[in-house]
Parts: sequence; C-alpha cells; structure tokens
Amino acid sequence: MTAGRIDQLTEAQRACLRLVLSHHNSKEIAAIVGVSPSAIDKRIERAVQILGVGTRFEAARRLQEYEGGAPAAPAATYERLPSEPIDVPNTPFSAPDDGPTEPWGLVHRFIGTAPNGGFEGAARNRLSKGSRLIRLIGLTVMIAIASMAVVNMAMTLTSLFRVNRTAVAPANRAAIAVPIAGNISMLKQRRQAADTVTADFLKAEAAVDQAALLAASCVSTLLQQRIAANLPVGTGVDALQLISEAQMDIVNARQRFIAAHRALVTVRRDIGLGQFYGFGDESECPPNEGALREAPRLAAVA
Amino acid sequence: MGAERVWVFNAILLMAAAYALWRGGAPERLVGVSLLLAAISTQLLQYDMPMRFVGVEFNVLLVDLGLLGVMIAITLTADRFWPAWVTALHALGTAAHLARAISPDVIRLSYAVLSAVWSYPIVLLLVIGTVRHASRIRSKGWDLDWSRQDPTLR
Repeated sequence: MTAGRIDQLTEAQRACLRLVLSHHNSKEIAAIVGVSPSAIDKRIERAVQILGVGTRFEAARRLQEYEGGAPAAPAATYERLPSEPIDVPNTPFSAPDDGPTEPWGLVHRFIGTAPNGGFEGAARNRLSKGSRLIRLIGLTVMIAIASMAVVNMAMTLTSLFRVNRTAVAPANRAAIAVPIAGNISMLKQRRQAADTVTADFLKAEAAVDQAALLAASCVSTLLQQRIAANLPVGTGVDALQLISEAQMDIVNARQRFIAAHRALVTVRRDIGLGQFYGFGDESECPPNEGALREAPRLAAVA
Repeated sequence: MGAERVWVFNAILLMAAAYALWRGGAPERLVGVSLLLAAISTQLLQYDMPMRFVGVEFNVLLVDLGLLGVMIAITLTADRFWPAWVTALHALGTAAHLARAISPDVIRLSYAVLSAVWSYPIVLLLVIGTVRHASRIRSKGWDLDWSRQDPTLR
C-alpha cells in the first residue's frame, strides 16, 4: 500500500530518510547533504506527509522495508554512533576489496563497474540514452553555429578595421594611391574618391577666396594711388570699372563655391561615408585640415 | 612557434590526464586515458610534414573516429553532463576530415586548425569535470560513475 507512495518520494527525501535511519539528526544530515538544517526538516516533513505516517523514524523504517534488498550495508550503518566523524561517511563500506582476487578486478575498478555494496544515491544525470543522443547532436550543432558566428564576427570586424586603418591616410596622398588589386572594399574606394575630390575642391575654394581678396585690394589700391599721386578723378575710370566688375564676378564665384561646399557634404553623407566622422571609436581621428565640415569655412567671412 | 605550441599542448594534456587519473571517477579516468592514447597515436601516425594535411589524414581520421566512439559511449552511460560537451566538440574536430574530403578547396592550414582547436576546450572540460567530481566526493562522500539504469533506483 505504501509502496505506491514511496514511489512518490524524491531521491533527496529518500537520502534524508536513510540518514535518519542511521540516527543522524537534521543538523548532521544537513552537514552531509550540504544544505541548511531547516531545508532538511522541510524535506523530511514532506516525506512523512507523503507516506502518511506519524514520525520521521516511522517513515525511515517504511523506506527501509521497501528497499530491504540490501540489509548488510544498512546494518553496518546502524551501528554508527552520532559522535563518529560524519564527513567520511561511506568510504569504509565501498571497498570490499575483491579487486585483486578476480582476474578482471583491477579493470573493473578502473572503469567503475566493480560491484560496490555501499550506500549510493540516485544518479544526477537521469536522461535516457535516446535523449542524451539527441542532446549531443543538438549541442554539436549549437557549438558549430556559435563558433562559426564568432569566426564571422572576427572577419567582419577585421575588414572594418582595415577600412578604417587605411582611411586615415592623408587626403592628398589618396589622389595618387593606386588601388591594390582585389583587396579593396567598395567602402574604401568611395572613401578614396571622396578624399581626392575634397583635396582638389578645398584648393580651388582657397584659390577663389584669395582671388576675391586680391581683386578687392586691387580696386582699393587703384583708388588710393590716384589720390596719393594727385591725379585727376577721371584717371583710369575704365580700368577701375572693369576691375570692379571682375571682382564682382569673383565674389559671385565664391558664393557658388560656398553652395558647392554644402552640396559636397551632402554627397559624402549620401554615399555612406558620413559615419566615419560621427562613429567609429577604433579609428584614429581623420585629419582636420583637409576635411569637409558641416559649416562651410567661408560662411564666416561672407 | 609550431613545435613549441605542440609541446605546450602535450604538457597541458598530460597534466590534465594525470589529474583525472588521480582524482577523477571512472568517466574522467577513461576520457583522460583515451585522450592521451589518441594524442600519442596521432603523433606517431600522422604523415610527415611535407604531406601533412595535404589530403585527408586517414590515420588521424581513424584515431579520431575511435576516440569519438569511446566518447559517445561515455556520454550515453556516465552519470555526468560534461561528456556531452566534450563529445560535441570532438565531433566537430572529426568533422573537419569530412569537410576536407568533401571540399578540396579547404586549405591545409584551415584543415589543420579546424581539426585541432577543439582539443583545448576538451582538456579544459576534463579538468572541470574532475574538479567537480572531487568536490562532490568531498561534500557527499560518494559520486556515481555511471547512471543507474535500474528504474527503482531513479
């Protein structure tokens, strides 16, 4: 009748009951099993409830009757006094030392198949062979996928870093750099193109700025020298007129360069290069001198 | 750097196997001895360097398959969880031979790397398994070697 109920006991509860049978108190059981005494009490109470008996000793006896197959080892366990060192509980019983007497005894002991009469608890790994096999296959697939993912990440990062490493080359050098066959990513090509355009554009922009400055000072020099030389007001009117118009044209050209500067910044962003200035902690800072910036340099002067 | 690496691995393996034999239960001892045997026979049986890893290494493949068989048997019966990881890692190392046989594009170095990298985590797992077995012995006094197949004792 109680057999069915004993089936409901967990192995942890059974282990506690077996120790109860050998006169261990909760504190000692707790020390052996490695959990707190209150957890042991709870475990045993639950076992007593399941078996429907009055005391823990009654429950332990029921379990022993049920498991009665091996009276020798428990009998030895009974005699043990509570004062015995409890941290070496079972080693004396596990060595009947029949090893050398049998021909294969040593081998059996080496591979752990020697008969062994001592108290032993339940298996930790209670999976059947089938489910172990399935888990094994699953693990293999999982490890394969994970390690390939790591390799992939490493390769992707490597190529990204390589792009960034070559990207810090000075802008004017990029103009003469010959692409190394096969090893250049699209991003790097774009990056080189953008750098080349930037270098030339900035030179032209600076030249136009300089031209505007020179033309303006030319007009002013013309006017000053006429006064300084005490020449009539009418002197060089035509020349002054033409130089002023040329200067106006240069200023207009300058205006267009400013507009072009903004447009180029947009182009850079459109072809996916803007991120190299905003993101990428691993890269060294790109050279500031040749770089296009959000606010056009000439806007302050204009 | 090549030869030193091999000796470093051999030293690590030897120490791990000795520790497993000394402190491990039956599964640890068996895996330790099998790993040692496999390493020794691979060392003896592999082709000479000019030919090594050029084609499929059949001798090494046989050794790996034998080791895989032992590991699967241990995984299926031992009262442990780590052998499953060890077997999965070694299965991948064995699969490197398969990859080389199927695809001739696999270059020598990647074939060699792919069949060898898994050895390090395997040895590490063996050590961890032995440590955990020893600590269970210390705290409980016993630790099953093989899971009971007897349903009444579950």
